[in-house]
Amino acid sequence: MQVNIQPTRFSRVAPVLMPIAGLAVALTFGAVFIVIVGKNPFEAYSTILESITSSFDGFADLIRWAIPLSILGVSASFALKAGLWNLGMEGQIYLGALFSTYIGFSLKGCPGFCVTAVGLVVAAVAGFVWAMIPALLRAYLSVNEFIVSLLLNFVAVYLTDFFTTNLWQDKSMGGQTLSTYSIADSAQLGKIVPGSSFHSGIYLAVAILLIYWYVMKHTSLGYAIKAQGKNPRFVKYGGGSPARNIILAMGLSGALSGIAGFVEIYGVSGAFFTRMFSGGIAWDGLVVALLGSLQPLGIGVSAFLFGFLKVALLRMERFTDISRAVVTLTQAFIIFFIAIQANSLSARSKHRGGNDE
Amino acid sequence: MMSSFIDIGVFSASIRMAAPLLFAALGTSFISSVGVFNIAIEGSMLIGTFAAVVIGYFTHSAVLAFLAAGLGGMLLALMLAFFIVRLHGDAIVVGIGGNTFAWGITVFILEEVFRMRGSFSGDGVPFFPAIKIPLLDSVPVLKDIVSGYTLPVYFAFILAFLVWVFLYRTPAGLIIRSIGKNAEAVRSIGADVDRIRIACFAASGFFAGLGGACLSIANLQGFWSENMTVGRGYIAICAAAFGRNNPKFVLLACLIFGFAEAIGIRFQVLRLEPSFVLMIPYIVTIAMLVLSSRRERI
Repeated sequence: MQVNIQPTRFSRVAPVLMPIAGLAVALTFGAVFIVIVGKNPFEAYSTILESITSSFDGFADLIRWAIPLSILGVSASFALKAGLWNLGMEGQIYLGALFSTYIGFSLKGCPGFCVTAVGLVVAAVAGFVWAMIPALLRAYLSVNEFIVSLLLNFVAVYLTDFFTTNLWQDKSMGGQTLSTYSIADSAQLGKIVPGSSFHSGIYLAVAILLIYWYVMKHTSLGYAIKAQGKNPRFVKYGGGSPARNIILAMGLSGALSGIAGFVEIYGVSGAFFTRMFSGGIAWDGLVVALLGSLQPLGIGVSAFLFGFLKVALLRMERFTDISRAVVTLTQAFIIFFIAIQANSLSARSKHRGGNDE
Repeated sequence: MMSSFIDIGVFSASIRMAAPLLFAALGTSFISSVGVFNIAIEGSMLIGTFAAVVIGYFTHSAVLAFLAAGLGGMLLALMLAFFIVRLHGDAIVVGIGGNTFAWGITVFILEEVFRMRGSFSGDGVPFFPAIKIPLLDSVPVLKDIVSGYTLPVYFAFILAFLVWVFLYRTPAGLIIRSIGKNAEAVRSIGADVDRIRIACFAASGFFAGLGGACLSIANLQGFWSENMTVGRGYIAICAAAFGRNNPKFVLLACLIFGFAEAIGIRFQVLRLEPSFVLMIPYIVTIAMLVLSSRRERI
């Protein structure tokens, strides 16, 4: 059951067009489901749009979601560029979030920025280590990384449950929510606009996008990853090591997912709550990568779009009395759209004789 | 300690737990045989769990609910088949979309039609009662291992035999298996490969849906909660891969995964850490994948 899917490239289409087309698909299918429940889609849309644009909070919330989504988009892209599927991003986020939280509340007597830095590194290491399981199995035993990384999500979620309930649970929070102790206030990522959810993780997200652009465009590491994705056999004949490339690509992907977990803790929640990402933010990150054509600019724009959808999802029920599932369904249709679009484009480039980047 | 730990009850629980996986894994065997990767087995299974409870709620018939679950899973698979076979969409990405869709549509109907949240609770959802086989029920050991299951559980094992006969002993099965090996060759003898692939999608979704019903109205007594399959569809995909799509070995793989789940439940009774217990099926599945990959290499 080897799945051998090459990452699809959209070299001929500006990576910005895809997210816009995706938004059109989302709005169209969203409208269909809103009509099904007997409501007026234009009214629902304008209510939500108004709630988001009427105050700065709406915009801040959008950025708040775009931050982890763009980091996750880059995370997924590193693996996809190498022809690999890292579907274990969710587990890597959980472990990155949990262990960076541990640093945040246990490193006492250090200055805040120092705790933040250590938390970031620990989150990256946690994600990296978790990604190494499917990476090593794929590199040395040819076990399908797709399914192994996917199954490891469940293991990771239960593992974080274990640490939270048995070791680090903050009992003062009451029995209702299971969460760890909170990280030190001084370690939290500063708010750019006080009182809103607009935090300085945005700099980290932009830096990661730039680093991704630089690595892919100007370094031998980026070249090796791309070569791996295009033709692993070519890598071998060229004297490279496919195993090494798999480990590097999956490792980078895992580390970035871990960092996305760090951002959620240090920038937003301040403590680890069990099952906190059950909204499927990892899957959104994967879709952000695909919708952004695995290009830095495209990922940024798609993260913005999905940040918008996330805010719309959270406000849907509060403002319009329509089930949040409508947004999930529209996301499904964005994914179908990507799938169909991606393949027809790559098939066309095949007819042209392949690689034309 | 050990003697009370591994007793007959664990084996009968393994068989009960294996049945939903077996339905879904047999479905996967169809679609994998024609060389298509359908990750939305998970989604079809989830829709099956939900359709069974909903249709059961309205019709009060467990049999109709069971069939509706199959149809629900099949509808999802047919939609994906359209995207993949006719519109040439990327199979993995379409499958991810299918799983998202399954999650969304079940919650959508739960919230918009039934005005409930998180789980379906309603009186009168029928379920399959355990059946005692008359003669066997008086034989000491056999009565615990062979008798006392619900109808879908028996059916799962009969289905494994029927699917084996179909795939390995009929001309149609030969064509299906040949498509996975060399689609062009099959096309050259005049078979409509696309249409056969779509039919296999339908079969995979139908069986996965039945597996879902097996969870919600046979192993459980008419209960549904959001995302209740929790990756069982993925485990079923692994079972099919491990069994090389041959129902004989797929059955064996499902029994092993069922055993892992049953052991987990037994650990829970022993007050072992529940988080670790819940991990067992996934870890066993990964271990089996590693083992089967080694076998492939030698």
